[in-house]
Amino acid sequence: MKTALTALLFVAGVGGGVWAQNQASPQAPANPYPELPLVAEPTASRDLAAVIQADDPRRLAQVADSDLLGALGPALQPLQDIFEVKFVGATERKGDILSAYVASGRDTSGQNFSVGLVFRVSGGKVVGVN
Amino acid sequence: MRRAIMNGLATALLGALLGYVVTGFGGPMLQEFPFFGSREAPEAHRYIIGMLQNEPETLAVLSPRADLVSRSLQFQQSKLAQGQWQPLSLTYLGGRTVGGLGIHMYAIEIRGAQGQEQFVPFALTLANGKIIRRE
Repeated sequence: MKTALTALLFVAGVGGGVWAQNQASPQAPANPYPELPLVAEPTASRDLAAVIQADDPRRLAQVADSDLLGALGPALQPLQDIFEVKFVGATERKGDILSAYVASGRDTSGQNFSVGLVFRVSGGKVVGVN
Repeated sequence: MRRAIMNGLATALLGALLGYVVTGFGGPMLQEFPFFGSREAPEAHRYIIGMLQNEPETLAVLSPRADLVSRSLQFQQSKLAQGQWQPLSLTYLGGRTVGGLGIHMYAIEIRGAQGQEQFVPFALTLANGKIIRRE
């Protein structure tokens, strides 16, 4: 009983310390503009992100048209090998969804690097990137 | 009884100290774990606001030092863009810290001088307090 109470107090203390540090560290100032609500990850961009992460050129050629492929190349620069594409958030305006991902991998010199990708999803399809 | 309370307080205080120090030193590393996520960096926020409010000085401070002509061009472009569009909304989509790089993404609604509205994304890459990439 006594050991459990001590452990509980210790864990509560750690939680308090993390909260205090969080409050003390610099935070972004308030946004002076209105914000749109965040929405769930669209299926179309999730599928495309999965294909990019799988490094599957044949499948990518099937799911992305030439315009999208043309835009995707520069958006992924300087990544040569991609090992992770992670969804971070999305928002919608009049049926247009901007869905954001962070792609991590290696550049041509073998250095680890990450880039931000924002897919534009409209009518259930990815119609653009960045 | 009093001794038990003192021991309890000391235990909680020790935990708080540990939590504070570990989060302080390990904060950037912790953000690399998906569980902890990544919150908006103040520098990225200031940069995007500087862009929307046409403040070339803010952008210059938050960018790696460029040559004279590039900095001049930044001021010139800012002057040309004055009054060309008006921001309607700014939404932080999210971000992530990976290997010392902070990637932060935004969705911006703007209205042009002719009344046309656009919904555009921005991705900022932050390293050592400077925006090293803007897409």
